Amino acid sequence: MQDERLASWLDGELDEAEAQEFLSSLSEAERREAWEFAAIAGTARRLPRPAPAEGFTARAMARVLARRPPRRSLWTWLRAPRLSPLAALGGAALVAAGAFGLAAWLDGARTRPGPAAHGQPALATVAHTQPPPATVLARLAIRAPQARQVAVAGDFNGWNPEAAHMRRGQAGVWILELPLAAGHRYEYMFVVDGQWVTDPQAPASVDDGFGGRNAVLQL
Amino acid sequence: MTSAAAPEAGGDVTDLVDAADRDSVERTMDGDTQAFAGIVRRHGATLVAVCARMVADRSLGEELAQEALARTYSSLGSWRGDGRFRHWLYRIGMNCCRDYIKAGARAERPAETFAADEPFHNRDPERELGDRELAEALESAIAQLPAANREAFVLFHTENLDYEQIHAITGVSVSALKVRVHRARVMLKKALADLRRAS
Repeated sequence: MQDERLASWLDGELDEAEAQEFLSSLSEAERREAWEFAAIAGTARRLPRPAPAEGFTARAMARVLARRPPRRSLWTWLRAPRLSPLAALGGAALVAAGAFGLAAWLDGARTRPGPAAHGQPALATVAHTQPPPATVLARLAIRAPQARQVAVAGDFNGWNPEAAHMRRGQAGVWILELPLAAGHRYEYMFVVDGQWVTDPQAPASVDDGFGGRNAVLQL
Repeated sequence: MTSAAAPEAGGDVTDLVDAADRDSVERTMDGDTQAFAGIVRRHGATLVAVCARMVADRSLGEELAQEALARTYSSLGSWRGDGRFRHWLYRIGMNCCRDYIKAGARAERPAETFAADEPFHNRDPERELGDRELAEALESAIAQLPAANREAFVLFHTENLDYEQIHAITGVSVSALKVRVHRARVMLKKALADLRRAS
């Protein structure tokens, strides 16, 4: 068996036709061996991740802050990329366009069942769908096409991402509907493959006290 | 054939993480030291996972991850800002692991497996047992790999990074990384076969 070809197949570098061609070129024994390699790779991908114990952030920060505070070197300062006025204007225009689009979408959401009705999934937005008297069904969504696992953590679930896993929808958009109390204000963050991410489309966000920002959901 | 140098996983989200990292770094450098907690929260779990696998010990992995974060904090001023911040952070983490392994301190510790703590979600009990045994055997075999192969295998197969990202973290060329990962697979296959024969 050609090791190079086998490695390319295991690395996911062959398209479907190339993979078929590779596998059919092997003898039965070689094919069995190739699948044994694939089983090792597959099992490795599914191995449970060793996770930090509770309170890791606080312990790590205590250790971090015991060190000498960082200093900006002159050379680094001189070489640091600067935001040009043109880029700043472009960024502001993008933010304005995004805010306008979100406002228009939310306005439309009051009269239609949800973003999927348009055939175009919403990106990290929250909508009211079929509101009962005391609760609303809040839909949270974020586009993360390459993510393996996405969850949402907020003050509605004790900031526990394990309590609210999102499901993968079309076009890499992850969605979760939550029944929440009408008239309440909630704070939340998405957890994308273990990384805490502020909802990029949230109309408002607040400092979380840990160097990040929580998205705000006002129902 | 598709390109091995796939774009950064999760394009939009990773850009967002990168922007948040840069913001945390800037605020930290401006004197808001608590802003560094954002970096700890975004990347602490990955650092712990990688370090724990590199030294086959969860609590030691956490210790090394903390050390990596502390070293990163102290040397924030030397970050050139011309790449993704987390690649620099993970490189410091890998260096902490290498330093530890080179010191030979790991030799006296038994390898820890992480697979037994969390069951594989399989409805077939026999298959679940088989998967669990394979996972535990694989964990032990990974711990026995030479450090360079283990590093490449862990980043590629358990952390699901592509070769370009691993290159950005380790500084090792993509072609050398491919060789290291495949050699690791060959060694693991042999180790598992030996284990099967022994049992």
